[in-house]
Amino acid sequence: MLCRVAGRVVAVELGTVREIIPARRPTRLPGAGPFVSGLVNVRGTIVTVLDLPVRFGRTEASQGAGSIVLMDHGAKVVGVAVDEVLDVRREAELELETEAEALVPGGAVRAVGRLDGEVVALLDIHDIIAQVLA
Amino acid sequence: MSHTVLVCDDAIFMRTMISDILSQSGFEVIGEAETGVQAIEKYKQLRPDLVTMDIVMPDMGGIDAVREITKFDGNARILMCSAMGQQALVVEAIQAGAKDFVVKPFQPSRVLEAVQRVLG
Amino acid sequence: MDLSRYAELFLTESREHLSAMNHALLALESSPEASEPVGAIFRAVHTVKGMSATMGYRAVTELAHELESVLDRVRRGELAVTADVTELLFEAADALEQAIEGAVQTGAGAADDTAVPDAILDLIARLKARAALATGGIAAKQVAEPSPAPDPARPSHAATSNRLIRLRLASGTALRGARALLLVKRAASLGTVLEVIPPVEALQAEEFGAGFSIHLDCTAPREEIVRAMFAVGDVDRVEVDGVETVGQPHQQTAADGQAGSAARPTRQVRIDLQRLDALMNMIGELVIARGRLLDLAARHGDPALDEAVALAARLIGEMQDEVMLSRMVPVGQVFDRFPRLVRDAAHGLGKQIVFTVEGNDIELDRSMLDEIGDPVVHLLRNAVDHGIETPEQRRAAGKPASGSLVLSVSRERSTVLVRVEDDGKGIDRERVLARAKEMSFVEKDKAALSDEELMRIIARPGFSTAERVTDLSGRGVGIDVVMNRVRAMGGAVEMRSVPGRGTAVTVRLPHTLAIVRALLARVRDEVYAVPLAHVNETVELDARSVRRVQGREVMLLRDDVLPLIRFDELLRVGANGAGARHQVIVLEVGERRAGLVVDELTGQQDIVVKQFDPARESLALFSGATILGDGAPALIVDVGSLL
Repeated sequence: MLCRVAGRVVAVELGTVREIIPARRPTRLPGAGPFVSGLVNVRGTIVTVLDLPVRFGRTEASQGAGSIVLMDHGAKVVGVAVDEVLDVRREAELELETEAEALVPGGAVRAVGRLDGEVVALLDIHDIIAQVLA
Repeated sequence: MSHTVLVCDDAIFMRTMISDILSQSGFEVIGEAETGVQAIEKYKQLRPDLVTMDIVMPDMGGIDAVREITKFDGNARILMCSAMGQQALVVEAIQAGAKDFVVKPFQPSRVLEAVQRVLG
Repeated sequence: MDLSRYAELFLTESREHLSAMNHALLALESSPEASEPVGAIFRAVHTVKGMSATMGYRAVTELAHELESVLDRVRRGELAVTADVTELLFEAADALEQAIEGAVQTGAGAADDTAVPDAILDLIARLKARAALATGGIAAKQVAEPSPAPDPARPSHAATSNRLIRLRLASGTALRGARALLLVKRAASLGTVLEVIPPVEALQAEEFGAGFSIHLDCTAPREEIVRAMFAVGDVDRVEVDGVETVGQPHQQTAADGQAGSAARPTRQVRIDLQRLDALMNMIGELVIARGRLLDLAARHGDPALDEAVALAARLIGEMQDEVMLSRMVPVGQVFDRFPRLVRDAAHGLGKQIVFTVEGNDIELDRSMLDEIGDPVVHLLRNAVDHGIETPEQRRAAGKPASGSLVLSVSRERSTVLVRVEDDGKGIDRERVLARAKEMSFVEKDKAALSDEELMRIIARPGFSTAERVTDLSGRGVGIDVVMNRVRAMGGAVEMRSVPGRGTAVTVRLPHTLAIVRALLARVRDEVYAVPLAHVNETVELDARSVRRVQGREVMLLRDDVLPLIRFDELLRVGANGAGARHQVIVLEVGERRAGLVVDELTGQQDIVVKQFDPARESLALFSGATILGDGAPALIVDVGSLL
């Protein structure tokens, strides 16, 4: 699944994606780093949301705009805020190359590919989530 | 057709109460007795479907009355009314031919259940 | 037929029977001559056998069968209840439990013919040996019920018209002896009574336990016997040739609808816990929706709307109460296994302990009861391991050789108290204090520790892992675990320990986990929920009554000095304009008090406690989150962690 995040295009494997919901104002989780947007209510379940654009270098929190991708992370459901969900493509279409670790600080990029001339970073989203959740 | 009942107890209060419970549930109380002797006489005279019998009554006790009534009618249906702690007497009454028993203080539902069992 | 659907039910029921069995075993151990416990164990094993055979659990069935044979010998007085027999029975009970859990877990059902586990085979062999040994007639025990003279001419039960009827009277049956006699007479009307156990004379005198048996020579079908027995009244269970029928097929009487209903025993159905949870969740949503509705209606100011909303709100409240009640179960359901646990632990350590459980019938929310089990086990283990001394030590200290351990459950206002109290040696404060100084948990010049301080120190995770606390203090292992679990439930732990006299730990729990009444407090533009169970009062902050004592802000409240907690600083929200008004929420847990300073109180409401996944470094000040009337999540303050 392709998303726009802080001006880049990133890809997330579709396997663990549950649902995409419109962004909503999160409740701040005091003490947590800037990469945590906070808590949102998804039909009665409290979901912790990570702010992916902030993780990718944007300074201001992306509150209210964009989408939240709900993912299964082990037994938990975690939200990942993105600026926009673009498209769903097959992995083969991305012409992936694996040696591009340095693209994003802190690793978490499994591979880099190209699609219609644009650079696409395939994220290890669960690694990113694991770094943030307690 | 409703079942007929003979209520035997030396206390008016108890007789009234039992009669009320039974008549409210469609039984026909056709007689009351205050003593064991009266109970036997009225049974022979009225031939009720059911007798409720207090254990302790003047002149002839309830158990002797049970004995006499079953001697007269082997199919008599007698329900003993006893107090807590009268187990030995109730056992004796059952051996004498009583079909079931209820224990005071009476709960209407208990009385009716026992009556149903005896008649059923 | 797909039996797997019944596995869960089998498991629950088996556990109940195992629990009953363990209880009876404990009773048997303390009075080996008693016949009632043997009967109870026999019935439990018998029922488990029947159920497991139906399920096709071979190991369980075989084990139960052998166990039954041994028990039968005991029952007939052919085998005396010596210490090693009791031990064997205890072992068998454990093995049976394992076999049951194992069978259900692996789903070893009817088609399964895998080998019975070795440990169980071994136990079966030992049970067989025991049963065989007994036939030798060593130390035959005289029991109240004379064993029936074996009649070679009498055909076995299973084959023909000789039926074995086992009966149990309903609890609360009046004049049980007389009722039993009616049952025997009724049985006699169906055929010839060959034998009554115990004999009729004993029955009439009410000299029997929960049930009795009738050997009846009759050709009537099973159903007819069952029906006839139930028709006598006050009968709870009828078992004919090992097939059991429970409960009375209710007879309709004319008055049943009215007067009858009050006297009838409550009827019960088993409900899948998941169903109840789902129902509870929906109620939670409804409660939230109710908040929103009330909000909206208030804004409209339409009397008709107000009335309709108020009615809906009331109904939702009643529904909530009902669902909550349906989730309440007596703590005995979990606590019933503790006597066995304490006994085993004490035996292993050569200690003598009289264990008492009080308030077993007090009810707790199912989910809470599941949560509280482990912490209570920790507390009991600690008391047995470290609190209560060996008989020699106790005698030397001038105490009775047997220690006393009491687990009590009681209600206090809207909370439930679970208390574990021993009369052991108490916590060695000197050593705890010395150790605490070593680890710089307290000032070097500290002279003594209060109960509060003591608990806080031994509850520090670092403290118990730093050294074998086992050697150091009367208590300590796992107390941090207990604290954490209890706090997560919105409860609190208090402890009192007197050297040489013993230790008491009290766990205070809210009635239910799921819905609590809370105060909503605003700090800048954020709203937090504070559970009312820990709120004493609220007052407006008066700058003139604020002082600084030892670098801490305090407030004078009447004659008290109340430490203040500036919530905005804790939460790291932006500074507030000078001169702004503040409210103080006076919090209290046990003996500790503090004032939580917030900007404004926005209301009180029932909130539904939900869990959330905390992030790294997020403050550990919250026990959960809830959803407010506007749909936004709000964090629930864990008062215990603030104080």
